Amino acid sequence: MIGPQILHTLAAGIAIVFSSAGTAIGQGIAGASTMESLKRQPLGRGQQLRALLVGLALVESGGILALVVSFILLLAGEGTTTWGVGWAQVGMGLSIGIGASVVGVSSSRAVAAAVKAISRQPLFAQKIMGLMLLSQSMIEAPAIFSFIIALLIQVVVTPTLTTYAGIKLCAAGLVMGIGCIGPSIGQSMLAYASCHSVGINRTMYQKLFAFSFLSQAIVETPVIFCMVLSTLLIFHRIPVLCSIDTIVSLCASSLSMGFAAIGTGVATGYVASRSCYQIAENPESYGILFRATLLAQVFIESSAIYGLIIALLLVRMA
Amino acid sequence: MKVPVFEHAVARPFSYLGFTGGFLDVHIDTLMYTWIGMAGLFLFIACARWYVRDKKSIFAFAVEQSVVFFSDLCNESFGSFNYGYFVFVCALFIFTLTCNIVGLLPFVEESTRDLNTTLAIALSSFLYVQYHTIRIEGIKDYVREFFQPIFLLLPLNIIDKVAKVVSMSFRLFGNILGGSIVFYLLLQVIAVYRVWFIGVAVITFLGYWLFEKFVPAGRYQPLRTLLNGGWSLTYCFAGIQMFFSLFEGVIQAFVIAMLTITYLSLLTEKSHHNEQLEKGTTT
Repeated sequence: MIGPQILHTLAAGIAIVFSSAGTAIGQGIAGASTMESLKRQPLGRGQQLRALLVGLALVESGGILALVVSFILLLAGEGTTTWGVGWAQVGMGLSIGIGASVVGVSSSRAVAAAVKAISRQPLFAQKIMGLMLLSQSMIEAPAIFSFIIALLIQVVVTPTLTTYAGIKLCAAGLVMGIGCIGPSIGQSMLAYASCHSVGINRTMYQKLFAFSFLSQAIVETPVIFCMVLSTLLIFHRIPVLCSIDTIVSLCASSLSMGFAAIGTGVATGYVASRSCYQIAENPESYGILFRATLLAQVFIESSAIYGLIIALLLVRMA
Repeated sequence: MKVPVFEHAVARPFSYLGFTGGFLDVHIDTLMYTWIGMAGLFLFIACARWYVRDKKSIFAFAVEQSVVFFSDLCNESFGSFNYGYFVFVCALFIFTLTCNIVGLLPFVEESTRDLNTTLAIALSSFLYVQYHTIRIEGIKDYVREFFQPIFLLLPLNIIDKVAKVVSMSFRLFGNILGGSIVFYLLLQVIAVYRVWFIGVAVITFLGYWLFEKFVPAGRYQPLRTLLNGGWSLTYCFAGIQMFFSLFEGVIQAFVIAMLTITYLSLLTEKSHHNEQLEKGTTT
């Protein structure tokens, strides 16, 4: 018998399969990079292994969040009474599944670069590890946002949810999931570049630290926009007997914001990563590089803002 | 379920005259929070003037350094120091920053969470730049620029001008609103487990304080670590608001100031270019 239960099972599967795949790939990348750098600098193996272990623990945290959501879904399985509840649970699964998988892969690039940098500068290991932890904790933010959204969806679900309301909640989860992809890739590029360039030129550590902190926050902006839209969709009230046009425009708004976030996230991260290498190679032109990067990022981000505006208009008109 | 983050207290002061409509609505909460922020700003300026008189104080040094930082930024961008531009950019930065971080006070929320405030900030920056464009280039060249490179691109040029304002205002709005949503959701979690949070905070704080006071260092180390950890956990929640309020607030205010500086510096470059052309023709 095909009932709403099938969606509930699918949601739990999506959450855990996607996130564990991402986390596993990430840990593989970090481990492989450590093997390479151990070959280059065997004497500094203590520092390298310590950085690897601390990094892997942080890479794994996205997977653990997804596991928690999966457990919640399985324990709430008895409540899947209508198709609407099933769709809402698929939304929870998409949100945390896509978010945690991308964050797992991205977060490992920071570890890979940090271990490589430690093999170049073994005496500077403590500070490089600090930069790695900062980058990783900034990269974790999309996973935490998607976890929050998944829990919010779980809170607002009632046993008598209509199918349309369920699809609306699914769209809210989807926008958070898609929105995590681009900024996470951008953040991973930036984290790799900043850790690597401290390895190239360790005298610029202070400035690279400040620069990467600022740039990570700007690259992350589309995720915050996605979270704003997602919360708006979750708390948006639709009448019980609404037409299908309303639902289509709500889904369209989620797609508009989600896909607008992909390109901007990747592009801002790419700009910042190139700038990190330049700062390491030409320390004297830090001022102009800093200003040019900030401006480029701000102008690139306008596209995400246009996506947000269209999405808000679609929600308003629905 | 009602979310206060998206709601505003609305007053319609002209409704008894018969004028209704969305344009005449006044968001009272936004207005109050902006006034509170401005009062705080005046207090800060009074203190700053008082403390700057003492040349050796750290506060005076901090104020001086921040002014020097901005004047250097303007010097590098404009090529020469322009007092009017510098004052405008500083004022814009300080006002935006005040509106962004006023939420740190109890019972007060950020006034840039409202689209009206951010639109006003973006519009004032935009209009200032347009005024100086007309002043330097002349109204004829300003209008001619709309028809560049060909006549058909007039709508595109107008959209370009509008998009500048829209993107500037929505950037600030989206970031601050996202921060306040995160903090609101956090407060909901704390409200559900209120007793546990307060209990853990009070017990660990008292325990840690007693430990530091009466137990000599180096003994019962695990218990000390545990109490310290519990106490720092309560700090984490303050830290999240600090991140969104202070850090994002400073970044977004700085971004607005930088954008204004850039538009103005494009203008000064153009005027330098024109002067050089004129000199070239005369000599």
